[in-house]
Amino acid sequence: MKPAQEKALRALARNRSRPELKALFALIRQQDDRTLLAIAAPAKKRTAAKRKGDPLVRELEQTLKPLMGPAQEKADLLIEHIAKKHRRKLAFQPKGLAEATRQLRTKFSDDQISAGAKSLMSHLAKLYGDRETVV
Amino acid sequence: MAITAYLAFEPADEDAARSVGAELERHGWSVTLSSPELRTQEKLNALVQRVGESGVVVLIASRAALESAWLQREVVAALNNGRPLIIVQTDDLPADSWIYSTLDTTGLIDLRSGARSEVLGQIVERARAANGRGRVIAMLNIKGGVGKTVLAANLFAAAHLADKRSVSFIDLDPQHNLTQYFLSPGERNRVRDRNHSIYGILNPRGDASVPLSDIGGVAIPLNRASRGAKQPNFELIAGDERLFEFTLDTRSDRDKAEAFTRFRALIAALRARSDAVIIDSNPCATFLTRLAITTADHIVAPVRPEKYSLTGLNMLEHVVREVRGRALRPNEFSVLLNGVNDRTRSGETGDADTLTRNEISGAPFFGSALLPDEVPYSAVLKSAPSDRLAANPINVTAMMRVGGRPAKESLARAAAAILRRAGQ
Repeated sequence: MKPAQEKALRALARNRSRPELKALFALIRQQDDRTLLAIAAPAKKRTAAKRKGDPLVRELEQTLKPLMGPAQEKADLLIEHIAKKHRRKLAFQPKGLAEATRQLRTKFSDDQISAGAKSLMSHLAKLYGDRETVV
Repeated sequence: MAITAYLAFEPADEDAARSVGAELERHGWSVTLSSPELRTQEKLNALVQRVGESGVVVLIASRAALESAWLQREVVAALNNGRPLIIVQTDDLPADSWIYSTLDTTGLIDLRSGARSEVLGQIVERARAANGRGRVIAMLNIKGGVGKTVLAANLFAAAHLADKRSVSFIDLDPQHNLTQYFLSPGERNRVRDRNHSIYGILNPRGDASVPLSDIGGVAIPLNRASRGAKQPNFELIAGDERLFEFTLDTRSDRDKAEAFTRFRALIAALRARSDAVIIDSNPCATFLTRLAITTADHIVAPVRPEKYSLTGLNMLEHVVREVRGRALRPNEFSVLLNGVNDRTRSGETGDADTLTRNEISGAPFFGSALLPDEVPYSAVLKSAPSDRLAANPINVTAMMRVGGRPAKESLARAAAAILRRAGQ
């Protein structure tokens, strides 16, 4: 046995009497590694990763998902639609939905922005969302 | 190398023709004059070849010219080969002459008061403009399902996005799949209600006819990105299922002749503003195919790696020869292998890609036309899922979709190679 292994064994035996150690060795011999590890070193309980980012941005991304195109175009459409809906002049030129949300929040509430995205999608669906039909 | 201008004239107009020819030569053009040597029945093919190879055809129109059968043949050869025609009038012509009834005389140049330098300068300027404009490229294969429409849309969207090329599409297929590819059913209905489709352009009369003066204005923008510097145009002349009328015998010869003149006017309007005018043709040989062949500077034949595509390719060469009256030159033609490395194919023996590639490259005519860039099979080339919508039509093309990098790169390379071969 190597010195490091002897040291590990002595750490295990610390404060235990000889009969206790004999019972422990017998127990270890009877069980497999998986059982022993599950008891001696249980895996840490995985907690769900906390989602990063703005929930409103995530919601807008999901709402505008059926729309094909880069995020910048989606953001432009959203701003144009909200401006028209609320009869406001908005000179925002965001690079994406996160920046659009930040800029829109300076003038509108989260509910208004969210409702604007939904209303944009229903407006676009009327214009471009028809399906092929047969007569 | 100097570009050739072909001067079609009668011996009575030789002085005027020589003045025009000298002015063109002074500005770097190479000039071919009509000559009795080529105007013989035995040399008709050589005459058509000479006219078809010229950059522009100048027609000296006089009373003598009206009576000439050979001059008419030269004009027909110019029309069938898509050569721009410049009409120079040296005499008073009756209003019911064939020149007025069959040709577009809106840009007629008046040389009746002699070969003055400003008029000659006008001819040179017109020739330069006619030759320096965008190129007309027809996507053509007599076989269907080889990818004409999808490649037309995606190749030239790649040229537009990667190289900032201005592109005009014409959907000349009654099935109008190119229009379906870009526009939603609702938008297509609105286009049809406004009568802004190729059907309205080809129709010479009736409620569905678009006035000649409005022809250039019926194009639908396909890149509607509102931000940034002004984009080069990317537009579509929408197709229409009613085009089938021009593929049947229901239309009179007069209607078809007028449709031909109106189509040429459309091509001239689009060429003036775009680097490339792309015609998506129907997969058969009809009057519509004739329109595409007679106006195209370059033909692109997509081929799938399977044996039936090769039959379509052979038929295409025959059809073009029949329409133009001469054989295609290899630099007027590109063959593009589409859908290689398709792992979804199963149960096939042998390597279809290699077999097809070897077959085409080994052929005496098609070998030199086969592009080294091939388009691989890719999911990004499939049409957009029906549950998604595009307010900006260019977003449905492969270049704007996620993934498929090898396909996107090969599309951009192939488009650049085609435009290079087309002389753009």
